[in-house]
Amino acid sequence: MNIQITNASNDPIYLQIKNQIKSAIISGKMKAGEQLPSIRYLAKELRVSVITTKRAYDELEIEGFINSVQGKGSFVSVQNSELIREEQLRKVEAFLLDAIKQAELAGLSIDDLKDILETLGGVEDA
Amino acid sequence: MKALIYKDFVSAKSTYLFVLVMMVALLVYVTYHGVMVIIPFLFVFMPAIINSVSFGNEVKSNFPKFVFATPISRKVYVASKYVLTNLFATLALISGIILFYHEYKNWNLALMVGAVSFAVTIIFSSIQIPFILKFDEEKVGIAIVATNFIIFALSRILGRLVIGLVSLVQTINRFHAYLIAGVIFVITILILTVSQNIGVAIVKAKEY
Amino acid sequence: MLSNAIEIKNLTKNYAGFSLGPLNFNVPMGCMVGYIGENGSGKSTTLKAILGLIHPDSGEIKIFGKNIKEHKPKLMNRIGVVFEDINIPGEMKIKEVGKFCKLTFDTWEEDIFNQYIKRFKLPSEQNVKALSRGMKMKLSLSIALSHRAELLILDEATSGLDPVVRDEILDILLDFLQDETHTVLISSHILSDLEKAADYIAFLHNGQILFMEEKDMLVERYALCSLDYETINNLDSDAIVGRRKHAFGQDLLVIRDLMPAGIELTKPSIEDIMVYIIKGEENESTNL
Repeated sequence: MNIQITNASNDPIYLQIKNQIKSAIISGKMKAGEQLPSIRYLAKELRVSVITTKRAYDELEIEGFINSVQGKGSFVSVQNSELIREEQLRKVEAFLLDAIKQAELAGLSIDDLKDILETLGGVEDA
Repeated sequence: MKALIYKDFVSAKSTYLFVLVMMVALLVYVTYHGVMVIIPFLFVFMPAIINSVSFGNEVKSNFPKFVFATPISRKVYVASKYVLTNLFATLALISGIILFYHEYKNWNLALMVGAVSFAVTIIFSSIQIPFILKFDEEKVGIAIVATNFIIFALSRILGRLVIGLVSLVQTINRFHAYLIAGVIFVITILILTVSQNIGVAIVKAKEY
Repeated sequence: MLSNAIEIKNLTKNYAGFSLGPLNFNVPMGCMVGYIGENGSGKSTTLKAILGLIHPDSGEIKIFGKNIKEHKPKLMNRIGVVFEDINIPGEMKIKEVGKFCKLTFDTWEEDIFNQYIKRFKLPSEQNVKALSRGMKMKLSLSIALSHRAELLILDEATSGLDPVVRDEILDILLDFLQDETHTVLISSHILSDLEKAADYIAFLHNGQILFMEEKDMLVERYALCSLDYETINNLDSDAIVGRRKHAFGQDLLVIRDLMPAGIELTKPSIEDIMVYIIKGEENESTNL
């Protein structure tokens, strides 16, 4: 499992940890049932507060990505593929909303936005 | 307690070695010159000297600060300061009785000398130790002066006592001897107890 | 992390020219609490009061739920203490110190002590007085970690040590905290050490605790920015916690949520927070 955190980012550390674990789970790098390191071990290795790692794990659990068993540890929960899909959709929507806001500020219409999207999409394919 | 005695022993090795050598030298000297009866009085002086040395190196390192962050209580710490004194007092008592009896064949005299040596050793430490506990680094000088004074006073008092004892012994019988020895013993223990309690109070009030 | 390793209620201590308290705070079990403040703010006094080395003028202190007045000294078996100085007679050899501790602590673990001595490369035949400052500190730490302590209290233990040694010590403290019943209370004015791994920060200033909070919360709540005088005049004055004025503008510590969008904000370090809050306090008292 790879987790790299940086102080330079404006993202809080717990969020960086959470997102990286989440990606690992979604991408399949971490399998269902696999055990995560204990919050204390993770805190020690990353040199962060135990409260930070606990928060990351707590949120991952709320979002259904992991299960914590008292006395045993935390494990990747069996993924409902729909859950993952939903999460990914949510993300895309958030970014698009952002883009729409920015477009508004710049005085662009939704059609302008669509054009840009297609152009960019086209570049990706090539 | 064991820990503190071990520490006393181990942290002033060179001093104790020196004292030991001195003692052996003195013992040899007195034996050679046939004045072994001085031995009990040597025991009487030892604690005063050794106490001030042990005190010195503790003050330098602020050792009590370390000690009281361990399970050693203030009571035990203070008690450990008296262990050496009690040891030497007992040696003075025993050697006093044995040597004086051996020399003068007078049981009453031997008993009196033993009892008085015991008492003097303990009483003077009982005065010295609370002073040592009270004063810290800046006042080490006072403690040393006090010790020297004690040794000086000790020797004069001892001298007078012995003379007084020798004449006293002519007038009493065995029963009186035991009685007087007993009273001396009890008073000594009382003074020791009071001194220890004062010592504990001093140490408890101190801040580290 | 539910119960408290240390509970302090209404602790006060007055010296000539300085008064501490009333202090009220708890050190939760399983955490590392960084106790910060300027020199002379009363950190050592607080820690000594916790350990019973000084007598508070008022207040109640409980360790592991027990009132220290009643349960010391046996309680000291469970508390590992590291001070700035080692306070052991210089003529003692390291292995004699080990023997002393064996005779002192009911919970002494000789093997563990020897392991630490080896790990720190301390020569067991060496006299304490011949040790460097760093080695003395390592010896203190070895002692503190070798009697099954559940609570470690360090008072300015790392000042005067080079960063490499301090890093090593941080690792050891983090190892110590792998057991969730273990707690660390560390006072330091070298904040970079605490930056990384402290769970809570308690800030003592002029004898009062200004805050005792999760480190993460602090770092998220505050932010640093550098602005020109004009922009600053347009800000909500409540947003500004402390500032450093210079010829070309001001450096500010601000409350993130009270800042308007569009201003570039960076994460503050604990040191920044401490310094700017103190600046802010001083400005208030001189009515700047």
